[in-house]
Amino acid sequence: MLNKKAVAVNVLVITITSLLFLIIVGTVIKNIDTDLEEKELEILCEQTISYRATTAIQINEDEGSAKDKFKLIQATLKGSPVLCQTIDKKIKGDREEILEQVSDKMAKCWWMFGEGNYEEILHGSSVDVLPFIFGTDEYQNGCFDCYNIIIDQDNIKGGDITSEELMDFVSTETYSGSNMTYLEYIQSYGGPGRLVLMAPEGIKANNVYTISIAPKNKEIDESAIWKGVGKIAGGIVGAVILGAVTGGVGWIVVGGVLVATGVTYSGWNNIKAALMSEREVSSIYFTHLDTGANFCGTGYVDASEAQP
Amino acid sequence: MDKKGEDFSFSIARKQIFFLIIGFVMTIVIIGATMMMVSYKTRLTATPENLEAELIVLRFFNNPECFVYQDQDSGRVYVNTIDLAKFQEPGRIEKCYSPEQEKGYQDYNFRLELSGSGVNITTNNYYNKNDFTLFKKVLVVDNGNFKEEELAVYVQVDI
Repeated sequence: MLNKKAVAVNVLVITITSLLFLIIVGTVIKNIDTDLEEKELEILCEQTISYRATTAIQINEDEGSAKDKFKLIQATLKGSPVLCQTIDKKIKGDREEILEQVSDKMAKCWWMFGEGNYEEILHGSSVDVLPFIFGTDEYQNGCFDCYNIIIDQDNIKGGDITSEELMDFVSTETYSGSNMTYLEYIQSYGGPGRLVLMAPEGIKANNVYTISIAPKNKEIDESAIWKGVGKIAGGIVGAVILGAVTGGVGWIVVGGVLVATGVTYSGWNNIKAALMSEREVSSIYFTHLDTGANFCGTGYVDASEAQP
Repeated sequence: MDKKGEDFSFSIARKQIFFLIIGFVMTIVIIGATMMMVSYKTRLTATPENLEAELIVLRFFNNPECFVYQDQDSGRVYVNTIDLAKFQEPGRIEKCYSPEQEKGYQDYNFRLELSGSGVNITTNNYYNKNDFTLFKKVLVVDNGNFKEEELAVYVQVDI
């Protein structure tokens, strides 16, 4: 039989080893290197999002009733960190190739974030446990830029690609990862979804565009912009394009797709902020880098703060 | 089990629980302290982007390897004077400032524009993301003629 001292030393050694292991794991988690390949980053992101959703614990769900205030504790715990990184992707080719690569990445972003099956996946825990590891403070607006798409060529044969062209492509071409079009995949595979093309100037050479995911975040109220949009489109719309905006924005439906044009709504920033913050279904956004960084990244501006 | 043996077992169990809790707390403290120190050091040594860009941009109008006019006979270098022929020479900017071709968008990139001549050139990873602009009054030499112009340097910090 071991004597008391030997057992104590044994315990100490095990504890110190565990401690060192935890420190190493913690450091690795926080400093996942950007040198990982694109595919690895996509898989890592998809896996961690999936773990985060499946390991979320809800204690005494908020029912929105008077009973809520008598509950001893109310919490949502999300125990798995989000290990996603914005992937910078240089693309080049003819218009068909560019359209295909952009559409593929929009579909991949949808896949990485659970294909619309999870709500508020990027929102932090109500009770934060180790927020510096598991927190999501950096995901402003509860959304995430999956890709920065860099158009790495001086010109595109045939001129700039318009938003309408991109919309045509995603609504007619089949996504290789499924037997449906890109648009159908985002709208209806898994949970409901929406595609918002917010680059009125289209796709230009030597420019950078952002593909962002914004999981469903709230039921929209009467005053919200989507409510008005829904009325025009006769229901919740699955795809939206912002057309050229010259001082205002109005909505029309063309071939089942909602198109915003320069008509009535004043304030370009307001509309961008509203479109990116009100999500009654999970949405994929295609925007110019400036918009993506401002409304989805750290520089997020609330709709109420945006300047007309 | 006799009394002595029982005490011994409880003592070991107590120690294990103690070390477990202390181990957990210490891990958090160490990770937290390390992160705080790293973050403090980063903030302390941070260089403003404008300053960094200003320093890089200096080469464009101070270095004859870039666009600065140099008298062929005397070898004299005229700082703040741009030789338009050098400015328009294809590939010259790569010799002067060249971020890595593949991942160079993570570094500073520039678009240089001479207001009067209307000529502009870009570094190899400039993608029209203009974070801020620097302006500099320069002399431009075009076929031996000197004229004053403004050089606008559009800075793309990173993607």
